Amino acid sequence: MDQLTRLSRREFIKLMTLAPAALVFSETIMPSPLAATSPNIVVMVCDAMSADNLSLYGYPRRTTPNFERLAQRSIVYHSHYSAGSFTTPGTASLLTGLYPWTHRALSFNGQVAPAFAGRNIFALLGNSYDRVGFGQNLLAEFLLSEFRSSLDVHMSPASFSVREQLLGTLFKNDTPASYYAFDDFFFRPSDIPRSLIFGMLEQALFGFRLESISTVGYSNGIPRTNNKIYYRLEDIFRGLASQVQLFRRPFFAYFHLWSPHAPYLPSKEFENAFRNDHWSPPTKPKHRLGQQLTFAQMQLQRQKYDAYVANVDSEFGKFLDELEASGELDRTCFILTSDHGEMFERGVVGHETPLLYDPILHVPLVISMPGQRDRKDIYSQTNSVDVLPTLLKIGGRDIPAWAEGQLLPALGGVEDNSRATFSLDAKKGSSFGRLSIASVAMRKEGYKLIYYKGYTKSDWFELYNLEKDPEEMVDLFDQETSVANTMKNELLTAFDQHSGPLTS
Amino acid sequence: MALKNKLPPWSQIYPVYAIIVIPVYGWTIYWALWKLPSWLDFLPLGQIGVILCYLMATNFFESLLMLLGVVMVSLILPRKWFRDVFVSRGSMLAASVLIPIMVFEYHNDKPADYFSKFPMLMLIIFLIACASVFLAGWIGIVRKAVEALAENAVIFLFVLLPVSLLSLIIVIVRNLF
Repeated sequence: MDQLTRLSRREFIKLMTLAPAALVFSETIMPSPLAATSPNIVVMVCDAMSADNLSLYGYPRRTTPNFERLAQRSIVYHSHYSAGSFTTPGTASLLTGLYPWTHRALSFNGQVAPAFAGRNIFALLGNSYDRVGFGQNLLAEFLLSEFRSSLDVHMSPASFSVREQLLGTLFKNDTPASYYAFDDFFFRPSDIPRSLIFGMLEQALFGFRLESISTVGYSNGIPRTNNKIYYRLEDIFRGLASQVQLFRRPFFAYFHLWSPHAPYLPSKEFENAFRNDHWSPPTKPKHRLGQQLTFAQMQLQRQKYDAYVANVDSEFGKFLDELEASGELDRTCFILTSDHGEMFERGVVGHETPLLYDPILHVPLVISMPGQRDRKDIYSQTNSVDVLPTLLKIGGRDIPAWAEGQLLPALGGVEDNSRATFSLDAKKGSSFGRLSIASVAMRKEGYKLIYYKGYTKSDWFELYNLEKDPEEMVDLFDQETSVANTMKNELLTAFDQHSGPLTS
Repeated sequence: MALKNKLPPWSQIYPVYAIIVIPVYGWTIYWALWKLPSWLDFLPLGQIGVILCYLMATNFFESLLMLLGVVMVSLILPRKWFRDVFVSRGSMLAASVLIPIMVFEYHNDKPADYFSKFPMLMLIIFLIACASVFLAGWIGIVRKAVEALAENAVIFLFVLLPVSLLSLIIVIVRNLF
């Protein structure tokens, strides 16, 4: 202190001129303790990938040999469920650690309620991580845009694409409003243009540009999103693999890929996979809220989906090879998961349904920790809200008290089937008001209770014993009344607590 | 100087602009009203306001583009054919372009359709435009009716132009910071 007080004003000014340089070099010369101890983290979300269709989880068709290869050096969660039934709520729960009835990203194109938007993984990890967001699905991109003040690298949804015509990306500082205005309103795909002159020009120009897309290697056209992004799977995976090398360390990268979301467009190499394999899933009764498709229609779509999943897996294998060859996988916590599943039963194809059966909710979760060489299997139930607290722990951060999930088993948490976990669909009606039309699934101690509210004059419940009846064929609600009533009370208490209008 | 002589006076330009504004803004506002209940379900009011700013600002440029087209025609064609009856012929030209586009867009939603049908659409618009512009100058009652309509339509400019300019400022500011 004496030394400092003896500095003359001139000496002090000289010393201060060195301050900016010291700031610039401080991180490179003396990395922060966090940088030295925190691993890189990659979260890869393959949209609409149901765990029920992955051979990794015992599906009879060999759809995912490369996921299985990753699993050999990972923790594999066998009973992992999404908190939402489509991209918006599923992704929001993954990124905020909150159930959909809390964050309220419930509608198509919805966003996290402003009061909860700050509670996202990018903000919580802080700027000692280089935080990267890539959402090929525009619904995921809406959420990333909402969190963009906490992103260091915000990649365009059209990155690595062959053709795209997204106009919102031109207004980088004002997404998602510009997406809503241009890409979801004025020039919404497969819809009448809402701009009289520009709409006509935009459509004609895009039509012209589509003519020149090479479809070599694809019989039915190259993969595309619902928002005028045309791409090749190999370009996406190759692009991401090379991009990973460029981020400042440590980094947290969230990659949300469109595939294997519909339309199912596998390459020629995979399109006939499983076509005549004579395998057939169990027949299940049609549901009154389903689309009433025939078994043959569902089977055809399932075959296309499985082929597409196999195609995604194949390209993922090449991505994995690159990460292994560069040594990146040994330095990175790699997480493979999905935002929701896909359904080919009970008269329904896809996921735009209020039904909450396991094909819609059961998603993969594979976590490979840096340097891990062995496989570990976890069979107790986990939920996508558990990912955020676990990531925070891996990143050396405290877990906030408001987090609705808990640490994943084998990563600081314990196997616990006695806790209740939830999944919700409430895409109809206001996201801010009381949730009057909704389906809720509660899972506890091997049972699953589904509550359908507001779809018909009277609400109803379905109860399944997942250990004895994993295909959810026998509704036990009127048979096992003791379990049914206990779970019903718990579900209704939780729903009543969270389903009211947002107050802030 | 010759160019300036071929340009119609401001007093004749803004009635034509008013005729352009009605379908251009009307089309977007009509669809926005359909979309509004959905937006109200999941977007905060502030966010909806910003989206509407983008819509108004885009419509502003769109209508100016159309006006520019009409003025260009006035520059190209002989003065007596177009410039001297600018309100009636300009208004008819604008309407005969915009209405067929409206009909076409209402029945087509695929980029491939637009690409393949674009030349035919342009030909149809050209023929309708020629016929209607000719009629607007030739038949006195049509000319007077169009002029009266255009003069009365100017009232929309008093509302839409300030809103559009304010929207444009908001869009610019939001994209600067």
